[in-house]
Amino acid sequence: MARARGKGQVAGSADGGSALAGGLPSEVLAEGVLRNGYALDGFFDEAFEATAKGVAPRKQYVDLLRQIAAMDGADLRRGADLANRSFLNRGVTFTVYAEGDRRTERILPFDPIPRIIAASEWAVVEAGLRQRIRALNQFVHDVYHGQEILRDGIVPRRLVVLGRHFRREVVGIDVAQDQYLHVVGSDLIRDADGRWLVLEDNLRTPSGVSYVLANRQIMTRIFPDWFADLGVRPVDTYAGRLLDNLVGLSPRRAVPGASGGPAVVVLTPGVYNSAYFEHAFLAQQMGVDLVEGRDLFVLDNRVYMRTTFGRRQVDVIYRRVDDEYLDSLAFRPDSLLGVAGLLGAVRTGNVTLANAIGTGIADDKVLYHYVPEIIRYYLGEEPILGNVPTFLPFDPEQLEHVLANLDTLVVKAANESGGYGMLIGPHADEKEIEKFRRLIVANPRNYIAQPTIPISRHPTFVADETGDSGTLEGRHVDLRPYALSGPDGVTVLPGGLTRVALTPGSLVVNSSQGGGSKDTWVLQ
Amino acid sequence: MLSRMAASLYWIGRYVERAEQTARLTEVTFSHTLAMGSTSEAEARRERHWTALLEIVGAVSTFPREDGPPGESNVPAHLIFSHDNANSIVECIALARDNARTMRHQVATEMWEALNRFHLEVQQPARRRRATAEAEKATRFCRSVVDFSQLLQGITDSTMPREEGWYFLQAGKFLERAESTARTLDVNYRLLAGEGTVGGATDGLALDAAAEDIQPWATLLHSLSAYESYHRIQRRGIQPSAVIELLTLSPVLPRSIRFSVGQVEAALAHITEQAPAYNGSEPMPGWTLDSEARREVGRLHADFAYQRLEDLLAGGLHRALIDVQRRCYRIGDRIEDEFFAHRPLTAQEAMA
Repeated sequence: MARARGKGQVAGSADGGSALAGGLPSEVLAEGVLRNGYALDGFFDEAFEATAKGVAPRKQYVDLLRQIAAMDGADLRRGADLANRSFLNRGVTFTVYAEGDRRTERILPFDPIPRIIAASEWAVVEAGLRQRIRALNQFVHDVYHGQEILRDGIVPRRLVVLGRHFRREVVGIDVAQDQYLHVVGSDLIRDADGRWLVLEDNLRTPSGVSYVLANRQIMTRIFPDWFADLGVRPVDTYAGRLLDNLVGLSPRRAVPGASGGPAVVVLTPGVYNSAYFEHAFLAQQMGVDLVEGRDLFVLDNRVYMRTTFGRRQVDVIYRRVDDEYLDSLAFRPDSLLGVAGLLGAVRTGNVTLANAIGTGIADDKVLYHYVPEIIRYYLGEEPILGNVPTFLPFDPEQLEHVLANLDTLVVKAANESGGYGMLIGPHADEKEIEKFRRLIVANPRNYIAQPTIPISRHPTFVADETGDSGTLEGRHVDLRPYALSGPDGVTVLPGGLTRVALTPGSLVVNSSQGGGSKDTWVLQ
Repeated sequence: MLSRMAASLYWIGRYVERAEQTARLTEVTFSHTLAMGSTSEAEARRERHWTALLEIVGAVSTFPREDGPPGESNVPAHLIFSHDNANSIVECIALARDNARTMRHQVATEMWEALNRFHLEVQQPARRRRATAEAEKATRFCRSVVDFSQLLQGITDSTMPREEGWYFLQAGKFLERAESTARTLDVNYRLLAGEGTVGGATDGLALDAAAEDIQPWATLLHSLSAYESYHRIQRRGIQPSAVIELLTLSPVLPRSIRFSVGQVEAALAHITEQAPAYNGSEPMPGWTLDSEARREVGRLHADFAYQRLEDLLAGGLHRALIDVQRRCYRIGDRIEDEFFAHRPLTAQEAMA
C-alpha cells in the first residue's frame, strides 16, 4: 500500500558498496548519479531488485546502468535539457487548459533514463494484448449485431445498453472486415510482485504514440552509446503499418492508371486539441492529409474533402474526434467538429472509420470488470494478462463495501480519462472523500473502485537544488503499449509510452497531472 | 490540395512578408530621423516621418494617442511588439506560426522549426524589454526579423516541392509585397511633396527639378534593399523620377510593383493550369476552372509591363498607386473566394 511504505535498503551508504558486487563494480556504482545509492522503499522496481546483501540491478539493466553510473549528474541534466528544448522547438507539445480559458502549450517532460523490457517479459505482454484485443473486437461486433453475450447473461444487458458510449445508431451496421478496434492503447501497470495487469483499455482514440517515436528519436541523438549491443527493437515501423492497415480498409480499390487511389485522411478536432501535435505528426509520417470537420462534406452518402479545385472523395478516415462529435445529424447537434451526414456514408459502406463508431462501450470502466469473462466466452482461453480487482458500486452489496473503505480505495468515474474525476483514497482529505461518497450514492453506475495498487517504480533522474547535478530516485511508472489490428491480425509496437509520476510518492502518471515520459526499450 | 492548407500557406507568405516589410521600414525610419538634428523644425519633420510610417503599415488607428506624438520612443514599440496592433511584427510572426502549425505535416520540418523557434524567441518578455529600451537594439531587432525572413525563404526554396502549395506561398508573399511597395512609395511621395521636394509635378523633369533634397529618396531605396541595384540598373545618381521608375516599372528588381505582380500572375498561372493535373480532385458540379483572380492579376501585370513612367505620372502618381492597392485587395478577395473554401486563422480568431 502506498501509504504504508517502509524504508528499503540503501546501497552506497557506509556498508552499501559491496551490495552490488553481483551486478556492477561497486566503486563505479557508488559514484555519479548513484552516489547516494538507490532505495526501493518496498516497491517493485523495474531496474533493481532486493538481494540478500542489498540492492542489485536486474539483468537487462546491467550494461545500461554501468554506463549511466559512469556519468555525472551534469551530463544527464544537459541531456534532459537538450531533449526538452528540442521538443519545444519542434512543437512536440500538448495543449493544456489552465484557469480562465487560457491555453498554453506544454511539453511532456522527458526523463532520460530509459525503461528496459526483456524479450521474455515482452512476449507475455504482447500475447496478452493480442488475446484481449481479439476478444474485445468480437465483443463489440456482437454487441452491435446478435448480442449473444448479453443473451447468455455473461455481461448484464443494462450495463451495455445504458452505457454512455453505447451507440444504438450503429446497431446492425457492418464494418469493413468486421474490424472495430484498429488502434488500441491499453494502460498496463505492474503490482508489488511485478505482475503485469491491465489498468484500463483505451479503445476509442488513444493518444501518445507520437511521444514514443519522438522519445526514441531524441534518445538516439543524445545518448547513442547507450544503445550499443543491447539489441533494442525499433519503433519507427508504426506509421507504415498504420497506413497499410488504413489503405486496406478502403471500400474503393485503386484503379490502375487513375491518379490518387484510395484517399486516407486523419481527422482532427483542430489545432487547439490537446493531442493536435500527434494528429499532425501521424498525418505527416503517413503522408496523408490532416483534415478538420469543416474540410469535409457529405454528398449522396459519399464523403469529400474541399480542395482548391473542388472536391476529392475520401475513403478512409483515421478519426481522432469522439463519436458524439462526429456527425451533428446523428449525434450531438451542436458539434462543429464533425461532418453532417457522416453516419449515412458509414452505413452505406462508402467510407471506413478507424476506430469504428461505438467502440467506447468496451472501454467503459465498469465493463472492464467483465473483460476476463469476455475473453473466456469468445476465445475459450484463460486471460494472459490480469485485471486489477474492481468493485462495482451498482451492485448494492459492493456499494456498501466501497462506501466503507473509501479511504483505502481508488475511485474512478466510468467515462472519464486523463486522471480527471478520480479519488485516490489514501492521499485524499476528508472533504474530498465525502464529495465522492455523495457522487457514488447519486449515480453508482458511473463509478468503480479499486484497491490502491502499489505500482512499480523506475529509476528516474532528479536534479538537485543547484541544478548542476542530480541523482537517480524511484518514481512510479505505467506503460501504454500501442496495438494495431489489420487483416494480418494484431501487431503490438515493441515498447510503448512509459509514463512516470515525477512528483515524489505520486501514483498519478497522467500528463495533465504532472507526469512525464521515458523511452521504452524492448530487447530482441 | 486541401483548401485550408492552401489558405494557410498563402497567409504564411503574407504575414512573413508583412513582418519583414515593417522591420525594414522601422529600421530605415530610425536611421533617417536620427540624422535630422534637434531644432524645432527638425522635431516637426521627425514626427511627420513617424506618422507616415504608421500610415504605411496601417497602424494609425491602433496607435495609442495617449502615448504622445509619434516618435522614436513609441512608434517602434507599437509596430514591433504591441498585441493591440494586429499587424505588429510579433503578431505577424505568431499568426504565420499558427498557420504553419495547422499544416505542419505538410511543410518541411526545418521550415516549421525555423518559424517556431523565431516565434518563441520574439515572445520572450526579456527580449522585448531589451529591444524597446534603446534605439540601437530596436534596429538590431528589426535586422533580425529581416534576417529571419530571408532564412525562411532560403529554407523554403530548398525544401519545398514546386507544387500547388509552393505557388500559394509565392502568391501570398508577392501580393503582399506589391501592395506594400505601392503604399510605401505613395506615402513617401506625399510626404516629400508636403516638404516641397517634389511639388505637384506630373512629369519626370519637373519632378527632378523640384527635388531639393535627394537624401529621402536614397533612404527609400535603402528601405527596399534597392540602393545598389538602383545605380547599376539606372546608371545615374539619385533622381526622384528614376527611383519611382525603378520601384514601379522595373521587370528585374525583386521588390518593384511590376516584378511582384508578375510573380503573383505566374503563381496563379501554375495553380490554374498545372495543378489540376496532379491534384487528384474534380470540380464541384457546376464549377469551372476559370479564374477571375488570375484575370485580374494578369491585367494589372500587363498595365505595368506596357506602361511608361510618363503615363504613370501624367494621371498623378498618388492616384496610380492607390489604384494598385485597390486592385491588389480585389485580387486577394478573389483568391479567397475561388480557392479557399475556408479562411485561415485571422487575427481575431487566433486571439479568441
